Amino acid sequence: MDGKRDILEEIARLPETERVNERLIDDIVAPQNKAKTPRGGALAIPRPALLGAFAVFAVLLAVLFFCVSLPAANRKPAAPPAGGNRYFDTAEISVVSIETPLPAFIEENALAVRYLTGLQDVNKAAYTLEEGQLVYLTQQCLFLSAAGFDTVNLGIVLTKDTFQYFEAFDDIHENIVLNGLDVVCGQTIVENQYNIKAKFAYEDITYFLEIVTDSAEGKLEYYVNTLLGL
Amino acid sequence: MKSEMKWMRAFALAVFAAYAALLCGFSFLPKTAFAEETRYCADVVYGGEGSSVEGNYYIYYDYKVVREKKNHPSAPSYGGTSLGQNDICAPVSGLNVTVFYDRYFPNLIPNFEPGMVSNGTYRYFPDVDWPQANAAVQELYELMHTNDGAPGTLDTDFKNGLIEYFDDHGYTLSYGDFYESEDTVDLSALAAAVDQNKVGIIMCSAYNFVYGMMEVDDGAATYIVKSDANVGHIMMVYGYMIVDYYRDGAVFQSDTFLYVSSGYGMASQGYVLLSDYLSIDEALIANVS
Repeated sequence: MDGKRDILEEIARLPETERVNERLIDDIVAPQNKAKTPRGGALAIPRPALLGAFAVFAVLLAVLFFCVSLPAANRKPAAPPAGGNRYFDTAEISVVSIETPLPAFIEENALAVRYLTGLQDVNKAAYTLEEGQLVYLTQQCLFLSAAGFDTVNLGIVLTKDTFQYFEAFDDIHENIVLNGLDVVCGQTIVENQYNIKAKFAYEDITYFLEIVTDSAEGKLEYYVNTLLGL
Repeated sequence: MKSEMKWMRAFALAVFAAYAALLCGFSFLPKTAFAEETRYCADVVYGGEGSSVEGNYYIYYDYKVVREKKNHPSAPSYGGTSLGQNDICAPVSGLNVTVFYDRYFPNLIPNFEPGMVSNGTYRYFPDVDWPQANAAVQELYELMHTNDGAPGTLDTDFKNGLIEYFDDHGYTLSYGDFYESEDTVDLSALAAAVDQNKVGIIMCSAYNFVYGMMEVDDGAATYIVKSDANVGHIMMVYGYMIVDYYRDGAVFQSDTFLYVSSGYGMASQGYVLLSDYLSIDEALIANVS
């Protein structure tokens, strides 16, 4: 240990009330620091300036963190390029009412899909906002039955993509076979009404079927058969 | 050296305070300040002032009990999509009220049957583009001066427009009240209204909407799917439910939900959680004679 370090240690041990000439410390430390500075190197930056720069950097980092992480936290994973199995949340889809009769719309768009015809129907078409691609159709149909009426919602998905709109069907897990057709289904009771959900693929089209009824028995098979003409 | 240490401590404290302030800023969604005129705008497309954020949460318990429940078994829920407009919650909620009373007051909506008895219970039909309902919502849209000069509908225009509609169709509408405070309502008044085949209306300058309550983890928890919006919004209320959550044999939380027809374009029905993100301006009971 050399004499300079001893002096520094003694200064450090001084009580806080003692005042030390800071230039004296600089004079002791400077030659050591100077020796460590590379040739033609950068200017020596004083510590307070370094801390100041670090403060600015930390605040910038915090702002950047919030700018990036908050929007990301509210979003689903980014969709792969068009053509693959993409994911679309509802904000990425534009839904418009189909004003023409549904058979005419299907023919105009050269679609090979099955659909329902109830006492009263609402038909809608969903397009991707970015490309304007027709991706699915929805139907809400009212059917009269012997005991009352059923509300039937049908989603007809034209692509291999996944849509937030149908995520309620992710919770159904019962596998059944109806007339040779593999169907995943589930049933709940909501406010004293049966809610039956089913999803299945038929001739390369995926169908999401929801039946709201006061009497559940045989209803799923009936509406699947009605839809597919089985 | 010691003064540098102090400086560094102060700096660390300042950075921590900055982070805390940022976190707090994101945690508390500011409520829109409305001056004298409240405009009710919310729709599935938030064209009006304000925004909506997810407020989903899980609640874990040993078991839960619906302690109290008072609601109409069925209530209409329309979307008003035939209007082709945004910010239409006022005429749409007005339509829901009108369809509800059309069951008891014939031809309130001309030549329209709003529902039928299904398996022993009267059920309102879904919104399947009924021409009569489309005509009624168009009439309400005009009577309420919706989107006239600014997005949405003024509170007085909503109330007067609905009165005028009923008057034009041979009935009289007046308003009772079930307001209690900014984030709750008078449940006894609402229960009495349900018993008398009446519905309520809440006019909010900020609100939450519960889309669904799903039991998860084999019934050990409920997942509440909810949004919080600082947008003026009007909804029809057709009942309430109080749920007690138990842990170790004692109630540790009670939630009260209002049954509402959303007034959204999707025509969804759901709930409003009381004593939560909510700023009720008025809670009205619709009296018809």
